[in-house]
Amino acid sequence: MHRLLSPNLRWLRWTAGALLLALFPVFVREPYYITLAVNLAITLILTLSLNFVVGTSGQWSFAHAAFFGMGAYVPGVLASRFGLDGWLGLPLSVALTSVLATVVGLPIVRLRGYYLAVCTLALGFLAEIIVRQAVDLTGGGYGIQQIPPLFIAGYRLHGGSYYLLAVAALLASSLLLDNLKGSTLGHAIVASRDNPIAAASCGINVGRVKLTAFVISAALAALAGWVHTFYYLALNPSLLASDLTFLWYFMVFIGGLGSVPGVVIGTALLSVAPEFLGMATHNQVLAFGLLMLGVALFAPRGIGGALTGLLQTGRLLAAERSAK
Amino acid sequence: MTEPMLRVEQLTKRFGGLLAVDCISFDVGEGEICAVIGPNGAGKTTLFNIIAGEGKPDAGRVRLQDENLTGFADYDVARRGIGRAFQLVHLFESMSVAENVLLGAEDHRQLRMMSAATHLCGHRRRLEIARAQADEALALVGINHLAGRPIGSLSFGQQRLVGAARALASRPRLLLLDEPAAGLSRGELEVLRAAILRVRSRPTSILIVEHNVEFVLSLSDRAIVMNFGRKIAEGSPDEIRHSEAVIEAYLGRKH
Repeated sequence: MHRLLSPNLRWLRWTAGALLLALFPVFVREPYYITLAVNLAITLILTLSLNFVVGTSGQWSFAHAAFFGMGAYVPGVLASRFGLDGWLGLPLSVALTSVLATVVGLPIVRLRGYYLAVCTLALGFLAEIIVRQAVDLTGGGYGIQQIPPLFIAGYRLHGGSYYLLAVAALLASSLLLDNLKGSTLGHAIVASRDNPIAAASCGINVGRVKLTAFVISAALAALAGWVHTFYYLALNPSLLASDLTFLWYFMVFIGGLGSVPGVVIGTALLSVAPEFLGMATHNQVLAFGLLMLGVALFAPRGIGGALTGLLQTGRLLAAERSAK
Repeated sequence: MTEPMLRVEQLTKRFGGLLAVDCISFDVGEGEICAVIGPNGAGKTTLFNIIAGEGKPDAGRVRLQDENLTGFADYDVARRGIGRAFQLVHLFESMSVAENVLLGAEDHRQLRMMSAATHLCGHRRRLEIARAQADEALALVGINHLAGRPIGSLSFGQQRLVGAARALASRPRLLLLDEPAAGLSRGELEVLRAAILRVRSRPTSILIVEHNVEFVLSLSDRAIVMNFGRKIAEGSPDEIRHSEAVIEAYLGRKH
């Protein structure tokens, strides 16, 4: 019975969630909050895809900002320099970033742990240097301004309407990751992380599966980059800075590596709280550091892990009470 | 005579100066249980690893029915019909028993990205087929009652059985069991024996590497004895029990 009901309930949950998120600009019209919400949607795509490659697939990738930056720059450069429509930039951005991730990933997914981390970190630095040096194309350190915006049937997407686009991108990414979890490929990704030898004995090509997970996460980062470009209509090379990757790692760790609700809470907390608290950047770094220390000491599995633990304890206590 | 299920021909593997497997040849027939025994360091595990695609031989061939599998990667060997249960179990620790066995049943030959991303394109049908195969493997090994349990909550013997069920879930033509009896209690040994005999009732051939000679001879149709990388005897369990060469390999020469 449970199995018969669950797929319908799942769609109901997704639809309800989408409607709730879509209603946000109806009640909140201040541009400041819309920008905050668009930023949060973009960051969630990034942290959820980072959580996927690190938590689900077990690959320590530090090139996430590079893929985000490429996803942002490709459509931005094409639109501002060559007049290409922003919508056409989306498939191009995702496809080109996926090709880059495949080319880079082919040799490096064979690496493990620290070696993979160091290689992807180097890629991140390299990407930023290339963007800063290719002045003719990328505008170098100044970046690109006045990128043509996106239009739907003659209507320019901005503010609340752009927020809907950002939420659609977030929902599509989350749905993709959630679907993957229940698929043969998703099972193979977790199996390849847990025990590569056993995975191979089940007929899983571990290298190919790991590469696929790496490329999926890069493609989602590129999608986030595309959303970013056509909201701000400006680009600068700090988008590729590895500091951003570390910030997203903070969000994932504080939320709880591998726990999707935890990562959502961690991301929301670290993106929105500093804005409301009016924190300066250097205070933010200090606060995040202290928060990270607190999580490491008192909740090593992050907020998500701690919440799961509390829920389990609650259920056990309730079961004991009803047994009495 | 019908073609054997597995044919190993003059297989040789060297590690530097050490000849770990020295020109070994044997066949395993369809539905046959064949044991490979021998003292420590005889080369049994190396032989097993080469058949399973974990390492290439220096010479010789491995054939599964009409297909030459020599030098194939481990995942490719598994896809072509050789299932393997490990001595060190090698289970997926973050998953339940049912999920472990389901992974063995699923078809991993293609990535099927669209199906994975959308849950369309035959996703549900394929998952149902895999679930049915996994349930069948759990029943065959006799551990359906453990299906929902996390791996960490199982005894070592139960974990062994999960490893065997996972290997069987893909419906392999040949099942490799690496030291299945090691570390099991007397009760668990009996459960294992019953499971192996049930598997034999299907057209699945089984090759077992085992230290517990009495246990493995009691359920095998034929045994191969190795020492110092060479095959020193081959025959029925009775012939092996009385073979001078085997007694000498295990107990030493009479004076």
